[in-house]
Amino acid sequence: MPMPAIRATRPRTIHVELPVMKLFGTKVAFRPWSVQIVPPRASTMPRVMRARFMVARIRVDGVRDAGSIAAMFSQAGATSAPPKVPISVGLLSRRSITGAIVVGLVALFFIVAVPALVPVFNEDAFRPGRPFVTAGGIQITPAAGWSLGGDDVLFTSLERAGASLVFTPAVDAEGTAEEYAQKGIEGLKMADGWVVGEIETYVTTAGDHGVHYVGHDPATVAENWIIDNDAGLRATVILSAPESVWASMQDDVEAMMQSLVILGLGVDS
Amino acid sequence: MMRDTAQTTGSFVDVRSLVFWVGGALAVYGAIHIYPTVISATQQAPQAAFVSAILWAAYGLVFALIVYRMELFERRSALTSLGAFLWGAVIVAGIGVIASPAMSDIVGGVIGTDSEWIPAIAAPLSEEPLKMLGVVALAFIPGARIRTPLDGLYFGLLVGLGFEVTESFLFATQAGISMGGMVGPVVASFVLRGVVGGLWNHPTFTAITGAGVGYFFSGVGSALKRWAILTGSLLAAMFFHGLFDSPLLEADGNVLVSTVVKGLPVFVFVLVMFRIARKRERAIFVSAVDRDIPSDLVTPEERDTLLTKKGRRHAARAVRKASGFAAGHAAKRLQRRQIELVSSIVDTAAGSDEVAMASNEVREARQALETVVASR
Repeated sequence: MPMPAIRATRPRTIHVELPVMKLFGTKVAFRPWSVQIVPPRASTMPRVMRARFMVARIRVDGVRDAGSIAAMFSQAGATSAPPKVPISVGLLSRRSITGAIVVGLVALFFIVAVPALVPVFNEDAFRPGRPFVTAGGIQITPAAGWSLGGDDVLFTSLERAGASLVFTPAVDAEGTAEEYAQKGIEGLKMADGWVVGEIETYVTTAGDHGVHYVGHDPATVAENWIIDNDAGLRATVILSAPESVWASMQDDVEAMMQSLVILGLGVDS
Repeated sequence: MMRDTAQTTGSFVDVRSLVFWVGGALAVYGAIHIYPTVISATQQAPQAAFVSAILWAAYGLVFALIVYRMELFERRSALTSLGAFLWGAVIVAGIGVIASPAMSDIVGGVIGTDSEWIPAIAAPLSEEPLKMLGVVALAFIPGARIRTPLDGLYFGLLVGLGFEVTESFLFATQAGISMGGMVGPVVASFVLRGVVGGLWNHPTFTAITGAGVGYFFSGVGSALKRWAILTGSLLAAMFFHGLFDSPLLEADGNVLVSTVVKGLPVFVFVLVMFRIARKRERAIFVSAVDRDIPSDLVTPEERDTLLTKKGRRHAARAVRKASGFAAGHAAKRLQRRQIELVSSIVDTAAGSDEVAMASNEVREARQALETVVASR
């Protein structure tokens, strides 16, 4: 359906109803050199629906989009306000570069910017070489290259090169460390392919005593320490590392384990 | 610039969309970061981890099925629903491994590391935007079809559910580990987080932001209004999440009372939002029928019947009683075709090829029903 010619001759408002507009019940209020599309107030049609309906009608009439209808008004010597279209309709058949940038940037903010901001707000937070107290009440001195994977009252994990060193919270010790270690060994042996070494005693620099054992499967090494202090608190630490990197991080892990001090929940330093 | 609805996919899997690929990259990142945590928990207490995995997988499945069946007119894509779930389970949980402790450190640095309010402030600040981002990502992919606030609410529920399942699996397993690998704490944790707190946890929080995202992308109100609702929904979710995690009412040690009192407001809030969103969908449905569909395709009585699932069931049952099983089946088929016709109008608007095709299918379904009834 062709658009009618629109001519402005004098400066007054002229209300016209264009045939294309009548199809979707929209009035066109015309002023010299400007045209405004005014949706009818009495319409009961929800706005989302109406906007989609308008786009469809324009397409049926051989016009692709709001930009084209604006161009038609412009050719007639006027400017037009394009009909409002929801973003969901506007995104049809788009590659959404803007969306990709938005989603990527927000994700990067949490992956990169938030961790980078920690030293600005909290000088006591995790840093290699400086004693760090886990949310579970265990103090260790992280080795260089290790990052904090997670830290809450459930567990704390340090990570490096696919290996993770997990600290469970300090809890009241029940039974001996050997008995506790035996349960862990039985658990490992239940899984296919695990070979577990002997339980060995272990003493930290702070003088806390405990036990230590190592388990291997074809691809992974698991080391487990159970350390008790004189106050009857127990710390459990588990290293899970790919076989390929385990040997290279032995010194780091040993240094961190030696630095371990059991403080207990609710203790900051 | 051409817009052609026929070029959209039937789900969020759209290789032309850059958002899809960004989401894929984030999924790989999330999986890499959540994997060591899951493996570590599993190695420490295999039995507790196994029980925890079974309980939370079953919980996720049942909850997801209930949500999946809550559509008013048209069932949403199962693939997109799975994508929303995985966003929460893998991406939010994976990024959370990095972001959550960092946010806790920041908040601890600001309000004091000994403050018991750190989790109540830090967790909403990192988790709610990340979960909301999942619905935003889906909204940027036309095939995911987030066309109303109710669509956003639905996908928000699933993103939140995915995150809750992963988080609660780890939480319950660690509870078992802290008690020497026992299964009892795993079950207790499941009851507390899943049963007692299940109605007002992550799915409920993300339903709020999801509805806000749905409104932002589908509304044609002013930009100010849409941004206000989008931001307001995020702030509301953060507030309710913070309230739920706060130490308020925990002094007397009654976890059950504390959980219910702090959780009930958000549940009521989402319930009201849900009803408003449904009302809005019904209004869109009625408008589409009244304006664009001839009464030989959908009569005014049929329109009213189609507005509720109960109405549709009753109408089909009445036909079955009057004219037999085959007629009841044909009546249900006619209802489905009529709903598809209205959906195609909302998606592509009157006059499109899709609408013409859907109109023909309604006529065929009506003809089939009349034939079956006449043959009795």
